Amino acid sequence: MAGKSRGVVSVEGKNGEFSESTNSNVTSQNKKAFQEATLKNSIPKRRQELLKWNGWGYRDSELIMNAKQQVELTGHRYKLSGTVMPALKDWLLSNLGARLDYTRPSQPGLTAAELPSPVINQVFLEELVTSGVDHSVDCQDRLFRAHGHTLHEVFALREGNFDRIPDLVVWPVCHDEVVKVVDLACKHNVVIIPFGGGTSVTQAVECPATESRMIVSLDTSQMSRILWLDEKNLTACIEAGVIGQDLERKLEEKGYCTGHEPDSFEFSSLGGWVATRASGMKKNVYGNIEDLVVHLRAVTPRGVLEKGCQVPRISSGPDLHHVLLGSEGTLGVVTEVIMKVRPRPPCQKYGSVVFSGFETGVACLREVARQRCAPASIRLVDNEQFIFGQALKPEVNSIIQSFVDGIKKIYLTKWKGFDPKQMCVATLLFEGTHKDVEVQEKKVYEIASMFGGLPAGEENGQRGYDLTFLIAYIRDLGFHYGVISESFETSVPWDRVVDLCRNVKDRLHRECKARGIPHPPFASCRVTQLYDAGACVYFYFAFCIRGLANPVSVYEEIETAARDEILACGGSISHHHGVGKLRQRWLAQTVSGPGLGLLRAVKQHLDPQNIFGSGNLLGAAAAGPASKL
Amino acid sequence: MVWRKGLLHVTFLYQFTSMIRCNHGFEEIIHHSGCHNVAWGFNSYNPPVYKYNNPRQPSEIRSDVIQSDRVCRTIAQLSEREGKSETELRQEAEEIISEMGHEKGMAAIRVFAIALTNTWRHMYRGIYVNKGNILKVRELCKDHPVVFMPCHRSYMDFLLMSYICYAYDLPCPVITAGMDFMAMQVIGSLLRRSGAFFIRRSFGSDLLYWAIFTEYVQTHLRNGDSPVEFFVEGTRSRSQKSLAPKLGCLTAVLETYFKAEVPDLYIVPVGISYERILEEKLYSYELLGVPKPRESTSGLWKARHILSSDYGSIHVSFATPISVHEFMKGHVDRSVHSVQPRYMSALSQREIAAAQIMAEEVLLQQQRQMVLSPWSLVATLLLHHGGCIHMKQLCTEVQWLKQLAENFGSRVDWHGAEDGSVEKMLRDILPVYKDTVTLSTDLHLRSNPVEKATSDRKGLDSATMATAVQHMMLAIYRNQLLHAFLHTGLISVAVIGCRKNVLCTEELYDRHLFLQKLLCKEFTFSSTNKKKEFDHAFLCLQHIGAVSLSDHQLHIARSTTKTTIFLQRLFQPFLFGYWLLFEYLVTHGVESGSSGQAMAIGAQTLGAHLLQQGILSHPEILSLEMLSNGVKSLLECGAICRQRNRTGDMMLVPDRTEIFHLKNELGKVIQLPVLDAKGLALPLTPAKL
Repeated sequence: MAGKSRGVVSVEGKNGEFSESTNSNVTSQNKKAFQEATLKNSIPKRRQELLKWNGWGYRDSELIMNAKQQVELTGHRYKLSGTVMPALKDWLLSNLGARLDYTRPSQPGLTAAELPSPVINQVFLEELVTSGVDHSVDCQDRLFRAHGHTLHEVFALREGNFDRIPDLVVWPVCHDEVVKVVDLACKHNVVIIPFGGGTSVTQAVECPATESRMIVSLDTSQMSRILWLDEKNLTACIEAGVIGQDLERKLEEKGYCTGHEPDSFEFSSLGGWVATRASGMKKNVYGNIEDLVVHLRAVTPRGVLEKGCQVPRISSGPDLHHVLLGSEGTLGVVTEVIMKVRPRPPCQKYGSVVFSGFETGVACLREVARQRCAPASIRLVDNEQFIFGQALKPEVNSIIQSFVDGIKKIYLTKWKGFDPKQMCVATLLFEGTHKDVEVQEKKVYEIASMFGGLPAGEENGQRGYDLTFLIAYIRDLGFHYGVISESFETSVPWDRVVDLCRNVKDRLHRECKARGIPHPPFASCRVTQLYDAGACVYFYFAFCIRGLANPVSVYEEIETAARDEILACGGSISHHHGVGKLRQRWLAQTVSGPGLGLLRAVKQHLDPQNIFGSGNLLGAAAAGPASKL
Repeated sequence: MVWRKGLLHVTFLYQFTSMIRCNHGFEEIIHHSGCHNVAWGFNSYNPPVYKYNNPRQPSEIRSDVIQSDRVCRTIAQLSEREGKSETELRQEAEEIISEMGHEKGMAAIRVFAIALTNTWRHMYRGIYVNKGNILKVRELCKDHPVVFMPCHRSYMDFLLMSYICYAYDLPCPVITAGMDFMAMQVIGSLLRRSGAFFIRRSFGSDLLYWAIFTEYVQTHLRNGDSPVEFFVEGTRSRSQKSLAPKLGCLTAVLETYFKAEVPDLYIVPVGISYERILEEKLYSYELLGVPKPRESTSGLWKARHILSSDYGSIHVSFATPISVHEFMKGHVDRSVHSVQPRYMSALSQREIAAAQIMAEEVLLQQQRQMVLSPWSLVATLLLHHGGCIHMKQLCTEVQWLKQLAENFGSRVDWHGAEDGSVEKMLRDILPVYKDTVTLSTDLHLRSNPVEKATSDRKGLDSATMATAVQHMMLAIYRNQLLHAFLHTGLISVAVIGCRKNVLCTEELYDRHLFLQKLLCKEFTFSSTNKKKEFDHAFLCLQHIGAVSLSDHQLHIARSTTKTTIFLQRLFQPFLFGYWLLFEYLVTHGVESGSSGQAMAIGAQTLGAHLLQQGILSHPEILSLEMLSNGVKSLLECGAICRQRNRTGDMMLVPDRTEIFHLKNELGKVIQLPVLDAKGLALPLTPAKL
């Protein structure tokens, strides 16, 4: 059942630091080595020490309303830490109808008494203890792994509770320990829900409320080593629990990168990327996760699933990697990934282009895609988000700067005739050699000018990307003032991008109105990825819940209507977030009846007992007979 | 385009509010000082603009259509299939679009506004509109593309619609109009410049024309340049009943929603009720088969005398706008178009079925918006009493009929009789119909005989024609109220025609369904709410004591009341008309069978014969519209089949067995005449077309 022997694979001679045994049992000596390796993890085992228990990100980084009633980012972690965003408060009040005197502070915490008591399969636990795999029944450890970051889940943390949380957390340190845990779970009919970075936005790590078996959260965070780096093939074998920032930092030390940067990059894990078919913002240069993966190793109840070679491409029937990519933890745990790496680019440069309207912006992006000259990242934000971005500008200390800003604005609106209520901006990120970047820049700005786009500087571009990590913190600030928000995404053919964006935003506005939400919502989108045949569109949606009895269910109804609209407009169920439990109702029409049957058959073969019983994708009922308990 | 902003506009609206007609929330729009003068035509006009609109000139709209994916693809396809060059086809497309396209601009609309106000002030006692819903529509125009779907009873319809839009700061619509108008000098171009666009009467198989028409309608909706207006009945209803819907334009409109090119569409059914129809005489003749004269400006000039006649008043009532998105919930899955480019993807069966249901709903909504005129009640009662009735009796019965209509949910214009002075009100309106009826000194109201009525049709002598025209002049006004009594009427037919002592409700419902099936082209039925409508009508009859029910059994003798007898007689002419068609098809149908038109004409000839012999007594059975509806209904239920003859032409062939069966069924609900050999021995000549 265990994986075949792989021997000690050393990293290209000098990189001895990475060379570690992978096939042996975990001896006490090895254990120490593991511990040293994981010491370098950014996130500790007791995540709640460093991260917020009821919201996004680090405990020390938070957007607060300071004494001067201005929004300020606390802490020192980010470039923007300590800066004040004077315009944000007014934006919140006027665009979302929030009021400073209406707050919904989070509950202080959930105590052991309030949390569901664990269902313990005694024999399983005893054997687990014997096996030596690290574990915990601590209620805060369990709570932290009971959720991702959908609105539903964060709202439950702030103002409610969960019906079901994992009964036990295990921290295997290597592939073989995962094999042990899965074996024991199969033997004792215990449910496993793999847990990586906890950034899921599809309720994928949520425990099915009806599950009566013991649920184990398999936390992969202690499997975070780079096992080897192969500079000849530009590949690295990496344990699946590594999180984005640690992976890039470790590779950076060697002069490499993967270039995979999803928005959740700080916290999300490699295994999670594989399980959800993640997409990084620089995919134009590096590819999406499915392009980056060369080899996968996964532990399923049926055994270890992997290919027998690490080749760039293979014709051997349907690609098994694609069974695991996007399997959302329903088939097994990904333990090790051989991934492409690239030398770090010497030059990185931001840029931005302002367009008179969204449609011309989309037309420009379409042309960029047609000519296949997209820079590492190119994103087009709509007018709403453009204005929102302006509200995030830090305090301007110098009079000259604000004077210059004023001139810029006058130039655009008066001289160029751009309507501030229509214009939008494309943000750009170029990567490569200095020369490459220069050539790329020239080409892209040339195309942009064909569509009336005006270069708007590096700073505006960078601010666009800063917003990406800041947005989740802003969401928590919103919660405090009764503004709930969520993001969702889709992919769509080029000819329908404009219609889809317009229709979905329109639907959001109408559905809010129909439900008596007094202030119009913030409904905004951006085109975030370009492909030959279409694009990825990302929506932000927020509204004020003051006066609503059931904000979360109201929100869910609206998101459902929005997703219906997306599908009606020719969009997909998801570009990279996945299905989880949130979007199952649209899976059948997405993959057809036989397609659903195929997924069910795969599940039935690999996991007949429904050990990986998260109920994602197919749903708890569709997964197999064992889940009926 | 705002020419002049002024106080006038404010006064204009202010005066509106003071003129609200009390009973149904209508207000009058032409008889007030605000629009009295030319200045009104120069008034400020600030219609709302659709929020996603990119302003375009009519010429830009036309070139966008030519460059559209749909038209380009059709050209490429045709070029491949028919061997014509693309340049040639593009040239053809240019010609089609320039023939079709409107030149909407404010100048012509303002000219119309001035001219119509002055003309209408002489012709009409008042034009009443329901302001509340109009204001709702005005708000909607900002957020959604809007489609006006008025009923079509007269040429006045589209003039009225645009006039009201102008008066209430609604964006003026672009209107699908028949090609007939285009040929009219001056008027044709004036119509074009006020937003009319012209389509050929039939272009079923012309792919290029179809593509251009579809794209032209859809581009207006996508970009929300103007509301689109069209008549789902396809043509003016000569009989004044709703015609069976034509789906072409509606599906083109709905396609923009089905393919998610617009977030939503709002459909605004509009009911327009005329006290007296401009074309009443023409209609009466046309229904009997005398073709309408071609539209021409000189013809219009000759008919200018109508401008000094009294045409009573008009009610224009906008229904609550229907959100297509809401309406289609559960009916369609728009994502079926995801795997093909949208301009190629064909509509699904479900979508076409949904369009049919929508069309029915729009017609029913139009009917609900109708305001019944006292004259339609009078015309009904005159027909009921053989064309002559004493004023005293008329007053009583008009009052009775009005209450009946209101009990069944209709609105009746009772202006001037609110204090109970029905006779005063009737005397006030009768001069409007002085050509049709005369009130003699002995206080009898009689329908005027028609002096000379010639027909070139064999078998229809001038005496028969004269009687028929005289009858039709009343029948078209009676038809205006039939929708109000449709279901109660059909129930009454089944009650009166029942030869048993009791009838259980299930059987009653079955007979009701049979009549619906038979009359499906004659009246508008909802295909989704059959039982509900029956139950509602049946309850209405019970609650006014018109029928007597115990233990789910209808007591026939006790249900044979003044009301049921009256209602049954309302629908008698139609049932005899259909019986006539059956008789004709059974005896002569096969040899003359070729087209529906020929069948209808043949049946009409037989009908004239039976009328002369006194076997039938309703001259209305000569209505070609009714007989053609009958043929269409039989086609739908399979009693007439389409077959190819030896030369490969499509023929209509009646199925005798099926028709016998239908006749039998009909015999269960109405006492049918028995034809002897004499009745059938007809000097029939094959009908000519």
